[in-house]
Parts: sequence; structure tokens; C-alpha cells
Amino acid sequence: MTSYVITEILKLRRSLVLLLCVAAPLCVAIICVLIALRSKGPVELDRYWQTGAAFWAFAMLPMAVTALSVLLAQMEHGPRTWDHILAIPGARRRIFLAKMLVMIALVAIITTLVGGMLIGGAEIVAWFKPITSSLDRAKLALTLWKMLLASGLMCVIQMWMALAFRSFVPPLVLGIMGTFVSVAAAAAREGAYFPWLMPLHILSTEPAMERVALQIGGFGGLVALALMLLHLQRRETV
Amino acid sequence: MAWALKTDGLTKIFRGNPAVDRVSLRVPEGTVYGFLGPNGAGKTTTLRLVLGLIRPNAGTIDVLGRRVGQDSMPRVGALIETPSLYPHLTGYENLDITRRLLSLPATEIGRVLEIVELVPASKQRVGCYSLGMRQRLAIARALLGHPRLLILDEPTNGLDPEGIVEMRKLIRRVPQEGGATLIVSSHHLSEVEKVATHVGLIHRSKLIVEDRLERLLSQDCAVEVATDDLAATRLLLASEGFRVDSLDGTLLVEAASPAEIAARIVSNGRQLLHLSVRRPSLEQAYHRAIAA
Repeated sequence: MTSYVITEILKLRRSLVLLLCVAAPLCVAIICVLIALRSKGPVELDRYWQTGAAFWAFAMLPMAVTALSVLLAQMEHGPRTWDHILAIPGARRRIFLAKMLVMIALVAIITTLVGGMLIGGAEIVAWFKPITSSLDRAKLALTLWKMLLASGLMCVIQMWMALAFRSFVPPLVLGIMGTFVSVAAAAAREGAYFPWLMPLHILSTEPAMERVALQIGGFGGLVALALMLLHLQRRETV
Repeated sequence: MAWALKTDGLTKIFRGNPAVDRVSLRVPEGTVYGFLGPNGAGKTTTLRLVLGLIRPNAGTIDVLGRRVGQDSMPRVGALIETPSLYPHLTGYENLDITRRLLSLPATEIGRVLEIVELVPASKQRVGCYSLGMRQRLAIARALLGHPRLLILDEPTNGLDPEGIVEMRKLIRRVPQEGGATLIVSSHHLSEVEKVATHVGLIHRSKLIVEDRLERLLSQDCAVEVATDDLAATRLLLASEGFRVDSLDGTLLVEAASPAEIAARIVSNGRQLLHLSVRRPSLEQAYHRAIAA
């Protein structure tokens, strides 16, 4: 299994994945800094980082997951390397899990970078504007990592779609629709169970919402992962 | 006899149409097996079944004595249709990916690059390679780990004449390097004829011929004769049931034994001036088999 994960990492050389890992969190940080700099009066850093976390959870995280899943899957679909990889004895059981693990690791890296860039952005804001509270780094980190856990189900569904279809269009449409529907479903009661909204529910003032998000995103993600592996291992490459 | 590949009643159906219909292949170990057929006959589908990329609807497949689908399957090197390499990685890096998946030492990469003569180009990205270089790199990848069975599906596709000659030399070298069994699937019959020891011919999803190449070509030998009276000789042989064609100054007797023809001509008082045996080409044997 280790060799499969290592080869997945090695395949990322000279790919756009690393650019995405930097661009996504940078986008979040830049927008938050600009909002803070344009605001009237002193800046509350509590609000500053929560705005960043909400923007990350609502928009950038789903889109980053969509883009990552498409990039990782198209790396094999494009040059049709499945014909070669799946002919290796034992590869079917390992390759899809390895891709999922790398995907989660990349999302974790991006999540960490979001936190780091928000912290850096706060320093920049403090140069130009008076600030009324300090940035609670521990709380920021905990929130972002809970969002990562809550995004588990969404990550698996995206990756599943990206690996199942040779074209990049279905997973892209799924990601766009998921993000779009989140806008409409955010205020609805049923929105509590919508995978694309799970990360945002970590910011909810209701502890039950956060608990549901972590359970469905985390455990639901594991169940979906098992189903994904069962399905993809049995698929034929034609 | 030890079989490198044995299939029994192998069948694959797509949307109600059999792409492979009860194909029973026997590929002896240590041979070069030419797997022939027109486009759409079922060659690639058969090879995909052998590699476990698709599942058969019926039949069994044994590779080097092991049933396909088990984790303990022996390593089979393969090039199916297109080279399928990562264009953003170098030649070396592409091979490194596979050798890690096969848990092989890094020295294997240098070994196979030497065989396909791609050492200088191995540090370039595959996206910059010509088609011939990609084909060679794909063969190098198939050679990693000294596979006992090597499958090359249309290895000369898209190559120019010089590339085809290079590929033929490479294909000849491969069994010599490690004693592997080689299955070459192609519709370039003249190329296969130069390297194969056995052939299997698939047509409209069915295996219609499978034999040693030597024996297949000797079955349809023609005898070219010249006598002192060609017209009389032609009448004589035709009356005895032989199919005779007139050439320029000689007669061509199809599907005949030279000894038998010579004996009949001489015993009927004709003077035999020339006798030679014409073996059909693989292409002729192929078309004859399909027509039959």
C-alpha cells in the first residue's frame, strides 16, 4: 500500500495540483484581508477569521475538492494509464484507496495553508488598521480541522464521480451543482444533511448541527469510501 | 507441454453482441505467438480479458498455470493499443512509477532502458517524445521485472517504415533477453511473419486457425513446374484433380506435394524441366483461412 501512495505523490510532479494547493487558500486570505482593510473602524480579528473560515467552507473548499478530484483522476483517464495499472496483480485493491488518501492529504495541506495564510493576513491587516481582539489561533485551527473532517463525505463523493467517469464533465458539474445548491439549502432544515454544507455547519451556533456534520461527514465518508472501493474494484476498463 | 497462456471457451459479450466467442487459445511457453485478425475481430478484447481488465461472460483463462483474477498472478508485461504514459513525467520517472508498484530495485530501470535504447532520452518528458519513442518506452515498462509472458498489442501502430524495422528488431531481441513468451497482436501480417513461431487467427470473434507458422504455411504450398509440353501437362494434372494456373512459361499447381507432382509428370512421359516450391505468405494463408 505504501508504494501505491508514494507513486501517487510522485505523479504530482510538474502537475497543476501544487498550484491549486497554494492558489485556493491564497484566494481566501486575500479576500478576507481586503474585506478587513475596506471596513470602517477597527477590525475584530474574531470576525475576520470566521469570515475566512465561512468563505472557505462555503465556496473554496468544495471547489478545491472538485478541482483536486478532477486533476487526480484525469491524470489516469487522460493518457489511459488504467490499462497498464489495473493489469498489475493486486493493483485494483490498492490504487483507488491510494488516490483517496492522497486527495485527503492534499485537502489537509490546503486546510493548513488556509489557517496559516489567514494568520499571515491578520498580521498585514494589523499594520494598516487598528484591531480590537487577538486572533485565537487554536480555535481557528480546530475549526478548520473540524471542517476537514466534515468534508469527508463530500470528498469521497467527488472522487468517486471523478474516477468513475472518463470525462471531467460529470465531477465538475457535480461540484458546481453541489456548491450552488448549498446556497439554496443553507437555510433549509434538510440542509443539515447535505454533504456540501457539512463544513459550513461547523460554524453553526447549534452544537447539534456541528455534531451531525462531523458524524455524517466523518463516518458517512468512511461508509461512502467502502462503497466506492467496492464499486471501482469491480468496474471494467474498456 | 507447458502453456504460457491457455483459454477455454472464452466469451465476452457487449450489449448482446459477442466480441469474443468461445475462444480457446493455446500459447506454448518460450514461443513468439502472432495473434492475428482484421480490425474489430476481437484481438484486443481477448487480450484485455487475459490481463484481467475486463471479465469474461464465460470460459477460463490460465496464465503460466495460474487462473486469472487471483492476487498471486504472475507478472505479465503488456502494451495494449496505445503506450499510455504520463506525459508530464520523464521516461525514467514513468518507469520508476511502475517499478515501485512491482517492488523492483531501481537498477531494473537502467536494464530495460538499455534494451530499448532510450537511455539518452530518459531524462526528457514523455510529452516531447515521438510516437516511436513512446512505443519503445512502453515496451521497456512491459519488460520490467523479467515477465515470463509479454503481450504487445499492435506495437507498430502509427510507426513509419523505419520505426517498424526498429520495432521488429526489438521484438526479436525480447525473447532472447529473458526467454519470455511473446504474444504479438497485429494486422501487419508481413511483420508478424518475420518474428512469429506460432499464429492464431481470430475472425468475427471466433478463433478459426491456430498452428505453428511453419506448418500453417506448408499446408498451402504450391509447386511451380516447367515441362516440355505445358498444355499437355496442364490437362494431365487437371484431370487428376489438381488446381493448375498458367504462369509465364510455367505452371503453378496449388496445394500439392512436389514429389507427387514430379512423379506424375515423369510417369506420364513428360520431361520435367523445372520444379520449385512456392510457400504462401502469411497474408495469403490468412485470406484463405478467412475465405474458408
